[in-house]
Amino acid sequence: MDDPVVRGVAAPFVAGLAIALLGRGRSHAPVWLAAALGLGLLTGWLWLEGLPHFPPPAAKAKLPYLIAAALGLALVGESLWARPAAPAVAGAGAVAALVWLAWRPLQAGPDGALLLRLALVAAGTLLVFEGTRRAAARDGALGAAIPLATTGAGLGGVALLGASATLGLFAGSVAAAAGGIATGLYAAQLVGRTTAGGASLAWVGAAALGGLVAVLALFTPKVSVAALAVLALGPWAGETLRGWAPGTGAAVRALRPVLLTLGCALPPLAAVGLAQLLEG
Amino acid sequence: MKKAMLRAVLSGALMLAVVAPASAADRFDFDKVHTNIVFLVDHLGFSRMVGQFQDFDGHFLFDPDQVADSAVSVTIETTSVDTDHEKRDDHLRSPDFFNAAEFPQMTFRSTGIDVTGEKTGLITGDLTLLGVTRPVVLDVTFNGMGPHPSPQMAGVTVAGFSGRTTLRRSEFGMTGFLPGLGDKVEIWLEVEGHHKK
Repeated sequence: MDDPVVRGVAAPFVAGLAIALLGRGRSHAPVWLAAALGLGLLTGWLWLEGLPHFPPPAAKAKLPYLIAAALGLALVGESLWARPAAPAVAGAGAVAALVWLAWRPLQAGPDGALLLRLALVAAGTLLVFEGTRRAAARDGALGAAIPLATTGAGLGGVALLGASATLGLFAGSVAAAAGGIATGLYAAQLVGRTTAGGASLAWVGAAALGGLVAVLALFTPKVSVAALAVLALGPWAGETLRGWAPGTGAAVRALRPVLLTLGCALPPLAAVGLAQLLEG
Repeated sequence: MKKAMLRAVLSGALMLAVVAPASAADRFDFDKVHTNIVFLVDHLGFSRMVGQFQDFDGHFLFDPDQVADSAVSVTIETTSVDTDHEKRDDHLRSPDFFNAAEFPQMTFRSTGIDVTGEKTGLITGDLTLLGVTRPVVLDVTFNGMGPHPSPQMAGVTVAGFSGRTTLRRSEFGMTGFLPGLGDKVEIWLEVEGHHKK
């Protein structure tokens, strides 16, 4: 457990897998899963970074507070995040969070480049949230966990190439926790136990990924903003590929998450390739 | 580090008050060509990585008759961190370490000086790094002071000091890669200041 990779990736994966298997098919499982993701990330932060500073002096130090706030809002209930107004609520939350994260440079005065980056991060976060939320509406919590895992993995790669290993590792924690949840839910689905819902899981995951992207885009000069932008397309590419397996049979139910995973993974792979090309 | 340097300079100035005459509250600006702010950090227990800052600015005020009124002020540009390895320097500028985009400067402002020997002293001050301000004590040695020997520098008085201190980077929120990359950071300062009459 002294290895940061174990603490940052293996432990969240195991935690996500265990919660997914324990909560399979239960009506409150989506909120459990959102809680597992949020608490897993906070635990990962404690292991990797230690106790959060209060008040947080830097944008990076604000991330655990951002995740805790997102988790608190997720615990309000799955229904809040499944409503049609959820994107508007998420948008308001994203804007408030970005202003908070960028507070120090914003205080320095108007900066067109900064505002453009903030707008891109907000748009990207909303794209990931809405794409993941739609996937949850179609395929339940498994549909939400898959794009979060692939987007987190891609973000980890882009962050590593952008010269921020700890942010990369933390993105890996998101990927691992969501990946563990997805693995557990997929195993349960193979034996006929589907977990409906997952909008609250999409909210927590998108908040964590959006916060990480914001810190990277604003404060890591070497990171490729173009690569970060490509990452936001993952859930939507997954939706396209998933549609190649119509029907309701057992084989289709087993194949569809695989196609969803492949589709969701394509933009992150392209993002890492782009980052390697531009910054590697 | 600059603060540390300033403290060292102040301490040296205290010693100088005994050694040589000087005018009240003379201002000495850092000679950047002959000033180094160096840090050493343990790497996995096998070696110590050495780095320095290339861009900094500062000065010290020294009054030999009122040493307690002397002061040191240093500002270091964190983007100028240099470990002779470009990719590592990029990493050091990232939010993992100096977070140079969000906190482009670190500062040191002296708050007090204690003379501990004929040529030694302790300079206390506030170091602000990553938005966190904490007290730091520099152990300084006064190396000497006098007219610059170069004809091109006629009228310039030079004072030189060496300073050493150790701080814990985690206390400033710099927690990246602990404990593999050491928490204790040793800082070496070699300072020359110029005063032109």
